[in-house]
Amino acid sequence: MDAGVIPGTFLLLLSLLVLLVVLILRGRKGPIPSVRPLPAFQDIRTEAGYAAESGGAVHIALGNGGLYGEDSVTSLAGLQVVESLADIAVSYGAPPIITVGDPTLLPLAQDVLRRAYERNGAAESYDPGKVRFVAPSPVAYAAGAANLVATGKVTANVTTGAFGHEVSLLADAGARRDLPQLAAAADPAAIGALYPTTDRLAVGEELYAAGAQMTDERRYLTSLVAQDILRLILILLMLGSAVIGFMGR
Amino acid sequence: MSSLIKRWIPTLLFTVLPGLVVLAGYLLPSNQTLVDFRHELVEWAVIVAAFAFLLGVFNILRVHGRQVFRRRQGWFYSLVLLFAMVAAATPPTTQAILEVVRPDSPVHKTLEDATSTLFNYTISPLGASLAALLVFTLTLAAFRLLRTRRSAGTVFFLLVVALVLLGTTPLIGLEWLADVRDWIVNVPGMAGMRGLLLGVALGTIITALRVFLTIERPYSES
Amino acid sequence: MIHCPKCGAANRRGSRFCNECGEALPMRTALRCPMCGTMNPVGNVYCDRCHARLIPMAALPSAEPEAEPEQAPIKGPSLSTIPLEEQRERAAEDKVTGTEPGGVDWLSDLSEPGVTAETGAIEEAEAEEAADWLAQLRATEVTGETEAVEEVETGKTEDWLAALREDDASKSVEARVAGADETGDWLAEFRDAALEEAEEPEPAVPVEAVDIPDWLRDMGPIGSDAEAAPPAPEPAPPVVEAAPEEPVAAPGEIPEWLQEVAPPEAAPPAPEPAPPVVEAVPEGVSSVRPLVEFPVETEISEAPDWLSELEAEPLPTPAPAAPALEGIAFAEIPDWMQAMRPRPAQAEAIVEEEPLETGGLLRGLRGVITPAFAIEAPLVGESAVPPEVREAGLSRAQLLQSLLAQPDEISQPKPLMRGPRVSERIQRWLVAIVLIATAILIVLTAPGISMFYIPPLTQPAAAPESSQRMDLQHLMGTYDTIQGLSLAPGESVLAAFEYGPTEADELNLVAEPLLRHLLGRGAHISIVSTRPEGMTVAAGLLERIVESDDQYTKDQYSLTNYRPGNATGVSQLLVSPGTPPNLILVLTAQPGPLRWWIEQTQAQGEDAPPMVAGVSAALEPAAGPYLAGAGKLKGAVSGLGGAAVYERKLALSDSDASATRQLNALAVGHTAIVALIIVGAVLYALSGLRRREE
Repeated sequence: MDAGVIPGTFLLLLSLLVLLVVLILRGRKGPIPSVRPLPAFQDIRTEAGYAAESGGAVHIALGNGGLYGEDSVTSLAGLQVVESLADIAVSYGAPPIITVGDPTLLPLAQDVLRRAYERNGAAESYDPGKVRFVAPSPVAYAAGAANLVATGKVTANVTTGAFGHEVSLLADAGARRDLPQLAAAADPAAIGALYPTTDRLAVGEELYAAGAQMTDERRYLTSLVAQDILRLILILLMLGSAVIGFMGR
Repeated sequence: MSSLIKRWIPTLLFTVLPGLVVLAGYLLPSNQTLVDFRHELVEWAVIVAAFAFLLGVFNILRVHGRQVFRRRQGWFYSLVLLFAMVAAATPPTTQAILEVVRPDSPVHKTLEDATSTLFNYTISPLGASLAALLVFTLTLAAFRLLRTRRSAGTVFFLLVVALVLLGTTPLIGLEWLADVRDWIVNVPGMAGMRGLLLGVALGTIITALRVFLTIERPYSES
Repeated sequence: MIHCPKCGAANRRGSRFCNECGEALPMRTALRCPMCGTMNPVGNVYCDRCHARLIPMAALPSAEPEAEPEQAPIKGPSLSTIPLEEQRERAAEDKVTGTEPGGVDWLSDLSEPGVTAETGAIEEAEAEEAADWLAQLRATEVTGETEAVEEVETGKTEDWLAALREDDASKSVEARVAGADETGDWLAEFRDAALEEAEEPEPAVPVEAVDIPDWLRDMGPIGSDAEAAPPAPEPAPPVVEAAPEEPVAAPGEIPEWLQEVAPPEAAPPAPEPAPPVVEAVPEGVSSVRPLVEFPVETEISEAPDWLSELEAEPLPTPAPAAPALEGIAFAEIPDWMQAMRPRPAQAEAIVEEEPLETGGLLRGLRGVITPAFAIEAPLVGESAVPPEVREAGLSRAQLLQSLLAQPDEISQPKPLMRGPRVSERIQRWLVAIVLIATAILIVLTAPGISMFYIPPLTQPAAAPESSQRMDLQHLMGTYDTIQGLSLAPGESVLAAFEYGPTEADELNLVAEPLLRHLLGRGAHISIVSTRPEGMTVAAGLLERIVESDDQYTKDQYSLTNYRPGNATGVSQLLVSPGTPPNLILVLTAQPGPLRWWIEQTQAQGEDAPPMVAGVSAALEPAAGPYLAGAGKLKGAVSGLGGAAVYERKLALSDSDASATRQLNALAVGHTAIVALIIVGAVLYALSGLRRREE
């Protein structure tokens, strides 16, 4: 790392750490912070219910991100969706079908699903085959997942994780069957590909609000507050530097 | 006490401590011990990721093998996939084994050619074909965009798409479109992308800190 | 949307269970089809799905609103008990407030919560229609006011009711009373009232004129007690209604119809059947008298609406009351039960035909349906003669047998596999045809095929060095950086091939002029990649470049390292032992690898070599921030257009200018796509306008 950047990075991380801890400790009591509704996550539970009533399953595509690298956090955000949905879906008897494009995400996704079965007292019904590794290449993964959506007993398509523009294949497969589609993407290319196919789309950092939106837990909501505070500080800094730079000319 | 042993000690040992070490290695590059330790941990992660590929292979065998065995819908395609997987993996795997067992074997050249042929004449064209499908799906999505979303923003979206496409390779006589495209990409496009990526970075940091502080534990019961 | 009563979550209309908590959702605002179970809007008469009738034929609301009759207290043990005074107060309040009169707690509890006005209206309409046939059963006032009998509409004949009345008429009161020892207290009261009534035969009182069906009209008048008939003609009061001013019959009076069923020696003469015209109250016909009359102090509840709206029926003349039995107190019989008095003539006939019940609660009655025991005693085997079996019945039996023979499998509902609609298919075909035609056109018009030639539709930008366009400035940065390299022997350029076969079609065209420039300057290129297929793609490209020009040699490039691990792999590649590169060339279509290389390179501080990039056109905005100002990237070539400009800058020959050859095809393709987008937008905009007008 650049020597000049290190002190700034350290300070930033430290302040974030302190801010997060303070907010979470303070947020244990008092009013629960509210999050504006995100249709991409709000409707997931509804779709799980419909899947149960119709005998199908919700397909969750976690993308190509693994557990090492910069996409790991994006993948973890997608796993929050799986964790929240798995309980409901398993209790309905309609477990989701999860596809991953990176094998490092496979055991973790299987574990999340297995724990959902155990919490619902149906550990013996757990099927590891519900989590599928499709292909390591992004386009091949999108094509394989699209095939599953087009031909399998899928009643809703949830796309959340690290994707690129190849997600268009997956979205098109869902649109062809007129399936309800819910998506969350952080990559601009994926956002551009998903925008025409679904109006229930979480863009950018909204993906990281999945846990807060679906679980309503204080710790997630207060961490979003920390994120908001930091964003505000950044905006003020950028505006300030722009004004100063403009005045300096 | 049992909760401490079962939950917190492993979490501290395998989540917090390695995270601290790697972070310290980035923040203190002058400390060679930390840097070496960081490199070592990252090497381990790479090796684990490589073994995870084996898990992926087993998962493919399990899912598609069951499909074939139980003659479920689409079982033939699962059979083709399994056959292709074995066929594509055989030459390079055999070559890798032979390099260790028999480095002078004349079969190396044959296996190398087979791998090259598989890649150049099968994997590469198939990948390119799949990528070419994106043109169709993206065009179709843009074609029916006004059916699903009817708003001024949608019209604006389509207008920008048209301008950028025409400006990338402007027809003779319409070279001014290239300037329009350049402005769209480098001013509002880049601004939007910066904002998006800043937000994503914030979310990434916060989520990573949540995992680091064990507030979020996807690997165990909350 | 339906909101869950437990957790308040919104659920899609038609859902049966809450998606949040699993609670069963009440069917509040819709009608459930009795045939298929589909929820239909409240106003529907027929089901939207199976077209079954949702509202019974007789349940349609009548045109003329009926006057709300007064209510009499329910005289009977089967309903909840509310003091009479309280009932009267409630009735008065209901009238004042306009609420549902005679609302009884248990009845209001029976009604579903959240019933809308429409469902309530339909239910009321149903009740009104149902009241038609029940109108005949409406009791006259307990006090015995004479009621004029009006003609009732002909309703449905209830054979069971007629038969029951006949049975009752044929049975003696004594027979019933004799069996009353085993009945509960509530029947004991009836018994007492019947005996008392039998002591004092009721004079005939005229019943209020009501619409009487033919079958009831034939039953004749019912014997009445001493109470006077109500004046006629007036709307008949309901079977059970609050009548605070009605004198209550003396407890213990046995009604005439019960007197009919007394032992033969005590049986009264059979009354004549009532005439069809009921203006005058026939002799013996009275308002429905209760078999037993409750004392005023008894807590009884008010009649529900549907009962209160029932009209009196022309009742047959009741049999004279049976002689009173000492020590047995008769209870009050509600009016509706009194209305079920059988005709004496029929009762006598039934007496002779049907066996008499000698035990149990129904002791003394005739014509009672034989009880079916839960566990049937096995029949002693008499071989039954098989009935004639029809073919249709046989096939049905065989089908049933085959179904039963199938193994038990829990059938899972299959999700509806919807294929694309017709319009969707047409769109897909249209887009596919246009794109395929474009591709064919491009192939046919490629240089070298003289049959179909089209002039160049586009040209790469001229004079990029003086252009104000950002992409051309970045391109010139790349050119100047490579041109200014001092390449001493042993120094190399690091080329990171961070793309695979899927992106190779575009990025090979972008990478080629850059590699030609480097090779033309005599640089040695070390190829690295963090993607396994990157090395293979690089090898194929460089082999082709070297073979295309004699000035290049195979020694000028080497396939060095594949390192997995993304950013970590990049970091390790950069710190690997060896001479640091003079320049780093990153070729990628993904933002991630570009970022890794930039960040890891900059982490080396001042020793970091300069970096240039060859990226896809889609990645140009992502590379822009690294190019601005004292950017970490010295320059970038983006997309096919940028590669064509670079080839022009290098003055490459036509055979080597691969990107320039593809420019025409790209222009044609872009134009076709834009045309499709415009067509689609216009089509759907017009259809939306048309729909709005409609």
